[in-house]
Amino acid sequence: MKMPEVTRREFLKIAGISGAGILGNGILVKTAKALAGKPIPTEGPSENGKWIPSCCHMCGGTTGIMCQVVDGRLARIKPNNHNPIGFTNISDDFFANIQKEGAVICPKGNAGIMALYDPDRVKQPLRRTNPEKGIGVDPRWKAISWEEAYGEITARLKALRDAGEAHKLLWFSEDHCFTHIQDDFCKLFGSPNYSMHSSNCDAGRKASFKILMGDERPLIDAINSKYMLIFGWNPLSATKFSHLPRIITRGIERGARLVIVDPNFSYTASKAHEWVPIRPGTDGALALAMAHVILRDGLQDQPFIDEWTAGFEEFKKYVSDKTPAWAEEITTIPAERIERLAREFATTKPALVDVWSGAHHTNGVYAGWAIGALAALTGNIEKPGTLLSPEKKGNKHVEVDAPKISYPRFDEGKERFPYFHKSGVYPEMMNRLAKGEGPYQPKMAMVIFQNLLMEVVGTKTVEEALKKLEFIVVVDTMMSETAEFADIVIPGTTYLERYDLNTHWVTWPVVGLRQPVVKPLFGQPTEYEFVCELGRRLGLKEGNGNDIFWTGRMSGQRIEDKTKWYEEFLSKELKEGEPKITLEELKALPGATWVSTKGTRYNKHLDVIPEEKLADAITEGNLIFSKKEDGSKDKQIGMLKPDGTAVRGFFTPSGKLELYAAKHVDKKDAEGNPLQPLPVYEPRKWQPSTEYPLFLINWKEASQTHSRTQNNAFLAELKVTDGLRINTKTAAKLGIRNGDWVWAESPYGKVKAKAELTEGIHPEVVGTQHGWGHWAMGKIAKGRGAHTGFLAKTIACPLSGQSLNKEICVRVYRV
Amino acid sequence: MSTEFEGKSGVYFLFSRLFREAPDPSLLNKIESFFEATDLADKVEEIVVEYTSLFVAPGEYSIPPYESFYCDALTIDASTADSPYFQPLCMPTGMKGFIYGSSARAVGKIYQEGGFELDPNFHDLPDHIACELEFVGRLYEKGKREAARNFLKNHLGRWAFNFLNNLEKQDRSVFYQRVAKSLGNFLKFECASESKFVKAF
Repeated sequence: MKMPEVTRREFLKIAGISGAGILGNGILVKTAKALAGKPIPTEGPSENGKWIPSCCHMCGGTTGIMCQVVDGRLARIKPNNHNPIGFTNISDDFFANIQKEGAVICPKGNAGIMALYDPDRVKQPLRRTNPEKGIGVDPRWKAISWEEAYGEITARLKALRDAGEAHKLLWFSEDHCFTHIQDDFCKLFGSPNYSMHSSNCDAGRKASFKILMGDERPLIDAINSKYMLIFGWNPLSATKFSHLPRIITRGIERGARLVIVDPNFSYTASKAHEWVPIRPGTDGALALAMAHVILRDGLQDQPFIDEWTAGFEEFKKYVSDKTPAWAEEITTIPAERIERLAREFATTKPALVDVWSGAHHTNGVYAGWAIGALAALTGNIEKPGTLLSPEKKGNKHVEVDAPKISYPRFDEGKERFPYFHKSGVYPEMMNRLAKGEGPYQPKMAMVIFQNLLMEVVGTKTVEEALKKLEFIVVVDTMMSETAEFADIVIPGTTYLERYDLNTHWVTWPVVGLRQPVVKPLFGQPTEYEFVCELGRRLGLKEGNGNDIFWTGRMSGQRIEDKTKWYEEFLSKELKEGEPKITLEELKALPGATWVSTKGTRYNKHLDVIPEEKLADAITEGNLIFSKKEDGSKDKQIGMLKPDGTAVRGFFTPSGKLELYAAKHVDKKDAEGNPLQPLPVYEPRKWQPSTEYPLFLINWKEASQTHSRTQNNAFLAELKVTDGLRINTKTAAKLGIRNGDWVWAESPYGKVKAKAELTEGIHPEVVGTQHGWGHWAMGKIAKGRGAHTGFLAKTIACPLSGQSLNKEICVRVYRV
Repeated sequence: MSTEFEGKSGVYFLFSRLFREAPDPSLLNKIESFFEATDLADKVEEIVVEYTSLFVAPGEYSIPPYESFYCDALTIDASTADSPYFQPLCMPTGMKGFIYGSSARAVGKIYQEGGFELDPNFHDLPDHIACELEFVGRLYEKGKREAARNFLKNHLGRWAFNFLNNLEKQDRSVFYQRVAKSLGNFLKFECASESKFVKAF
């Protein structure tokens, strides 16, 4: 086939342009002589085909993984048999069985390769050219150079700081990666507004257990349990730390009974001995009625109560009229069933109770406390097979020497929310921004790997809030809904391209290393390098003059290479923390995981405080505190028993498990209402009405994490429960058939979804898997399922700041 | 070196430039008559946004300009897990539509063997259409006809038409529709299988 002469001449004309220097330099540069003709070296830190141990971050579970890089590409991911997170949370089980049985990773972990090589990843810095912002508004991106991106972001930050407005920077980050350096940056920059995710997650649960036992995150010892009573949690599917399905099913194999209390027949309910469908928001009433039965029938562990609880008489009095008949009215669970559950729970030992995200409603913190109280009444705490306080000692955040910031946080969380968690109160910040309220008006936001529009309840409020900010930078691997509101988007890295240290989800000290198994695909800096570069450009220094973003924390030398600088940052955290090893030494350990040989310890409240520690402590009443360097009172470390022995006890104001919280008396919550000293049941605020007669809830499954993984091609192939589940009887009344398109409408908005008729949901409730309903994110995610955030009110729990994701009422009708 | 090859490499370099980054006004001035357009330089801001939405920013308009996206299947080996709980049947095989597949590595090696590597300031992948076009241009520039022919056959020619077809069909940018049409027309002759190839230009 020959090119026609006319065409040939046309092409020759443009061919001439290349000689005029107008095309600039090309992409391909001549290789240094020595390399020419030789095979391309393998990229990434390993030799070809070697398995590299790391930790997953498809979710915050940080399960151990092994990654095989073949010819510069990640080829395989498999479980890491040296990291307990994919196996168990109890050390005996880990040491005895992991090599025999092997660890696991969940579907998301298996699908990590698809996230790394997703064609919808953000590749280059982008600047919006459309000044208008809004849901569905095209930002009209323009690709810009790294220098331009850094230059503009630095200039904006500098202008804010020079004007004495550093506090007007809001910073939102994920909570299981590179948090410390971001926290340091905010402190040195002068913003009190470093926030990280927890108020959208388990701030409510943290408050419940903090009140009861002084620990924010107790974990269940399922493998040793004989009875598991779980409220509002789907641990066999919404796995997160991926040992959950194994330890729970192993517990069942060893004779445990599993009871799931949930309005939705979850995957876990389908594997349980018993599913207890409950009316949303009433878990506290069920727990109180169970406590009533236990105390009425004398099934409690009285010696344990006498020794280790505070406020038993007040509690007993409070539940004296919380009869099963009373609870039946509230929960829709028949009284005789409540009686039976209470008896079974109290007479089977060891037993455990737990609750997670199901309690995202206005009575949630008290409900969680009431649920925890069942463990206290029956002595099911700190024993094998019960609820345990984990020993989380891992790497240590080496605090920076930063001047005190004179402004409060924008959410004034510390001042207003009695169980404020340092991660911030996202709904409150969004409300205040949208309404122009609060102690000052923030001007700029850095959003690192957070999708505020889909994770904070009340999407329209978040939209209004984001519009109020003058300048938004989003760092993300994907073009999230929130990234579409950014002024500049910076391409983030996946967990397979960067470092982190992980210390959560098991009961004894363990540190797992996440390390880069391939280089960042587009040559982009990792998030910690990005933050470090900003710190350098802004010239941020510690109070003592230390050039912290230049100085290696181990060597004390100036380090140009930001990766090397961060490696020293991590080494220092490991050296100062429990492992006392360097990053290189951690890398060399089997599975790049440091596992303390001390193992899981039970009954830690009985630990006797050593004489030498006691000698250097401060005693106030029956409580013992450690001392700060200046001699003032620091953390609670123990309590004095009536016989004078100094033991650890529980880190509550009484040193015991609190069935009654004396410190709540005369205190107020964020809305100015009195704090209740007892785990009271109060109906949640938003109740169904004639107009909006149905409860709407949402849940999680193993197939997806929050709203961030829905563009993953492999995960999209799995069974997707993105429809709206409706009870068949309810649907019949509404004239809705299976597969019909329906509207779910609340006073705040409406969303369209496909009806999924089932017997497996409470008749007063409709619900869907959280995370679907994307209008951005990528070609696979977009347009599937419904995002219930549009239906919700932007509201935080006035005790904990927890985002109330499950407190929605709707009407449902055919499209 | 023959002038015919020089002319040919010039065409490759020009198209490579058009995909490498958004054009500037002086380049648009030079090429507007070829693309049957007028006052292109006045539309430069718009063309920059079009370029970004088609080839850089993820979103509904994006058309990934990578060989791997069109040619490579991502298969996860059943040996992924050692655990007895693992069910290999649930693993995907042969899913297409990803980036940085084996093609990206393969062309990277060919560039290296040809004495080239990617400019470290180019923050994109080796199987980007701009890289592959430039490479063919470089080969012709050096008179390496057979090597160019092989690269067209084994790489660029395998996917460029699918990519250009998508680009011609999009309605985000008239300018890039024309670029696609024109490059498609050029490559059609370049990839023709007859041995008279040398005379083709």
